[in-house]
Amino acid sequence: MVKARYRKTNLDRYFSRAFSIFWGGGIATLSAVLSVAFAVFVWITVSYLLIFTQNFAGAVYGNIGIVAFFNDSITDAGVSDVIADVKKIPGVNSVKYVPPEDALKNLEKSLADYSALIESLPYNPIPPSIEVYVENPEDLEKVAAALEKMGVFDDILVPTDFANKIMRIVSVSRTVVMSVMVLFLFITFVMIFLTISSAILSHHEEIVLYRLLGGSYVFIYFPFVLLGLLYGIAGAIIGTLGAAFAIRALTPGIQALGKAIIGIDHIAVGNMIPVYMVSIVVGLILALIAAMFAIRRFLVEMEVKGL
Amino acid sequence: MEVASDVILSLRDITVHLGYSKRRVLANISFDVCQGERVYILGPTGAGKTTLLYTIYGMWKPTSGSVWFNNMEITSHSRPPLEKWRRDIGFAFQDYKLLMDRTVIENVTIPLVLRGFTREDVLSFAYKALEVVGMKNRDKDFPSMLSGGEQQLVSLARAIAFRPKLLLADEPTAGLDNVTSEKVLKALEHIRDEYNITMLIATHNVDIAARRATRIIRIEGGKLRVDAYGKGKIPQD
Repeated sequence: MVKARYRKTNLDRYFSRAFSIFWGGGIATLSAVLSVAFAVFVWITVSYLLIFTQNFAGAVYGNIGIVAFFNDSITDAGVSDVIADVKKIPGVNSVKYVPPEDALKNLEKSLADYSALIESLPYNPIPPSIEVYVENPEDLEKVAAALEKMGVFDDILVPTDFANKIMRIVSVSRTVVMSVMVLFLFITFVMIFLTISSAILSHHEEIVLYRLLGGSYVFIYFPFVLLGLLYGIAGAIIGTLGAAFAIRALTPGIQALGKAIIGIDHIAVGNMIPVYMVSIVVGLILALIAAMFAIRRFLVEMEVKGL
Repeated sequence: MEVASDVILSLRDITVHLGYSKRRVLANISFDVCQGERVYILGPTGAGKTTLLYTIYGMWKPTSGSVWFNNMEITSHSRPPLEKWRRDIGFAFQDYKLLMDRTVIENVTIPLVLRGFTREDVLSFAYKALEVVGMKNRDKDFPSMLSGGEQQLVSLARAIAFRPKLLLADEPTAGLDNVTSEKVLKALEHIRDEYNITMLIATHNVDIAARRATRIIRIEGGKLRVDAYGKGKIPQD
């Protein structure tokens, strides 16, 4: 009798079966791919908004400074020493000396309607001061306390309320973004799970027969794992491209908004490539897990039926 | 367990309970089958013939007892390696179980693909099987274009295409007229001549069993009543 020759691998058969179900899936395939694409699009877009909000907050923090007015005893040489000491305080990012003349000019600028009144002053009442910028707005109070201890300042203005508002905005944005991401992860998971379950269901007769005729679980189900990956890859690519275009279109408008709100000309968004990569990987992993769950459900059913 | 060297299948005290009510369908069935035997399992409807074949095929797990085939035993496994077990067993189902959206040749190639045959061997083995059962000229037809007997022949071709050591056929002539039944039985003979496959054929038709069997096992009420050798003899209780 002629002896049969066996293949070394069935991988090409798994791929060809997965592709055939993918292309033949019609509306089911489209809905699975679009749901992954939509989820990836939302993840990237909200990630972008979060990054932008954080950068926006960072830019605002960079402009929030403690203003400390020197007392009368300070000398020009003393100012330099104090600035050097202030720079050593933990959490201080930079220190800017504001001479009384500059402070007066700034006051004139900000109170333009009262310029005549300011000009009529017989002398400059504003003492020399420094603006201390911190690395983290949470350090404002700590740095202000350290300045107070130095004993060379008459008055220290700490913009705590403003910083707290900004921190709250960032914190809320982060929570919203995380919730949206988790929600869309769940929606995508459910969509892929249902699509693969329905794909398995529509091939149920064939699967049962394959099992009856000696097919292994790997042979029967691996194409469906690949199918999940195909949904994931196709959806992630479409979603990422869509998000990349949307971000390109949105960025100038958002930067203009940032400028209008805080007057900072250019708020960097940063490199989005890692976000795109992570989103694609997350899309793929999610599709894979959903596929495994869908398959597991049928494996249990097959086992119960003695197949 | 020790079995004779030419014993290919061995059943020891097989008892099967099925359904929620745990109805006993088979009770203490024991027999050995040697290489090349053509065993007809005889018995009225509901005697337990199909259950016996399904148990041998690994579809039903016996409540007690053991089934040995190819030096393997699966009944003790909680998750039996069924694909390994079925690798050398062909099964011709009573209801044929053909995929209606596949052509005859595509149906016959399924077990070959599942066993990882090369592309060339898949086709050559499938066509050879169709030739043995006399259905080679219908390779491109869909099952819906075939009569019941022809579908049974395709089902047989699929069961033997990968040259199994054991063929289980469940009522291969059920629902067929005499002429078509004869065709199917001739195909079974041709299969045995061509491949020397050991066969276990379940039937309720005493005449068929008497004319074709080398051994007849009669089951009634789930119990083995008769186990007799010799062609042309209808065993009595």
